[in-house]
Amino acid sequence: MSGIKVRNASVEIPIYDVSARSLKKVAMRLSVGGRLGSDAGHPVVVKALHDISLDLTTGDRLGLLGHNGAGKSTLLRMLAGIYEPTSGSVEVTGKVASLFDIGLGFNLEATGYDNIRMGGLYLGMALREIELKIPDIAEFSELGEFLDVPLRTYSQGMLARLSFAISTCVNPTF
Amino acid sequence: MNLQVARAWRDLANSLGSWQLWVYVGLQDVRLRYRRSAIGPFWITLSLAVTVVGVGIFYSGIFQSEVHIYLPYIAIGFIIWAYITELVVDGCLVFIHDGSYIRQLPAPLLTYLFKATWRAIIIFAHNFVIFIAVALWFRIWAGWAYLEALLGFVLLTLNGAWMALFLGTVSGRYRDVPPIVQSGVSVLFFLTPVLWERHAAKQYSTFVDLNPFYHMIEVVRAPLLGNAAPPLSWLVVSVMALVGWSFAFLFFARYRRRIAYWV
Repeated sequence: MSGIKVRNASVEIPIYDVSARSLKKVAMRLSVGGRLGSDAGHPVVVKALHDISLDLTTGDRLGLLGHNGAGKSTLLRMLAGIYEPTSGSVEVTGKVASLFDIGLGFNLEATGYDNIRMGGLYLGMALREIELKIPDIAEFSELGEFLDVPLRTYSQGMLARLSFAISTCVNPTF
Repeated sequence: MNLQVARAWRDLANSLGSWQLWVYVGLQDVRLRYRRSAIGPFWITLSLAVTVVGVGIFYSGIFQSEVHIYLPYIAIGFIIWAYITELVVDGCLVFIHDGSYIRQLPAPLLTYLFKATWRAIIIFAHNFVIFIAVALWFRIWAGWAYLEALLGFVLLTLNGAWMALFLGTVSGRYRDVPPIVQSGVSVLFFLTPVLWERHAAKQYSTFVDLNPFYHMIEVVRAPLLGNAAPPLSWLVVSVMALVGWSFAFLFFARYRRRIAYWV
């Protein structure tokens, strides 16, 4: 039985601009008493998610609608376990497969097959499992002999095919 | 805090569990850096070999030491120093470098530390060929002491790894740290007995004993050259590995959940 349980979760993302992040600023703050506007103590915080609660169980499908910056991706990242909520809790039973950035983890100097292996490993698969899936991935990507050459020779469309084939080969728990 | 420590332990267990990931990707990292070059990763070895032979012959003249003693000494010294640099300086980047992965994939974070450490070990292995050649040339054979050197190497690596973990976490938040560490390490090179020997420091030898990097080098270098490392060095590296790891691990546990937001 797989499921996702979110209780009053909020995510606040701190934005450190170049100046607020530097050690000099921290050191200055120790030696100088006054605080200046946005340079003072706390960095700007983006409240990306505020007090979210939801329950999902086997068979549920959830669609997210919202304008740009509404927090859709942040919610997904939180569910995937990348962002831990700053308050509240997220409880996931089962295995999550996430697909955010299509070109992630590609190494352009490596061959298609090497990239499949690396991509699969990053997605949490064992090498043995990946080897079993390689024929399927190769067939789905329809790249044929191109899988033996480095990715820098690929066209944009070919890269998209390969990344889609890799990302969709993970078996999450349904 | 207890919850954070428990999660950090789980991170550690999961990272060890996904050893295939960091072993494979670490190997690829080294291999891809030299893709399409004829001798591949041995370029690292070659450049260090030229330095060792050149400096070894020239400086043995300056310091008036015997080449057959001085050259092996700096050969292994340079190799270990390169390893420490790789661990500590590149260690600052363990999380920053793989930021795009950290922000996209829920892989346990210590995976990236293990990958960086493994990569440093691979490069060390390439460089170690130089010492083997030098040892063969000067007929150095340490016998059972090689086991001692191996133990020393494990302790050296453990120490380098906790430094990478601590510095990597801090660097995620403060981007000035990597350049500071880099210049710090290059200054340390001159203060650490790599080019010169401890006894050459004369009245400053206490100062050398206060340098943790001296001990980290010595537990590997001395046994390989057929000498025993001073008990003080073993004590320092063992205690430092234990204390350092406890500190770095707790520090990591405290800030682990923030790392994805920082990088």
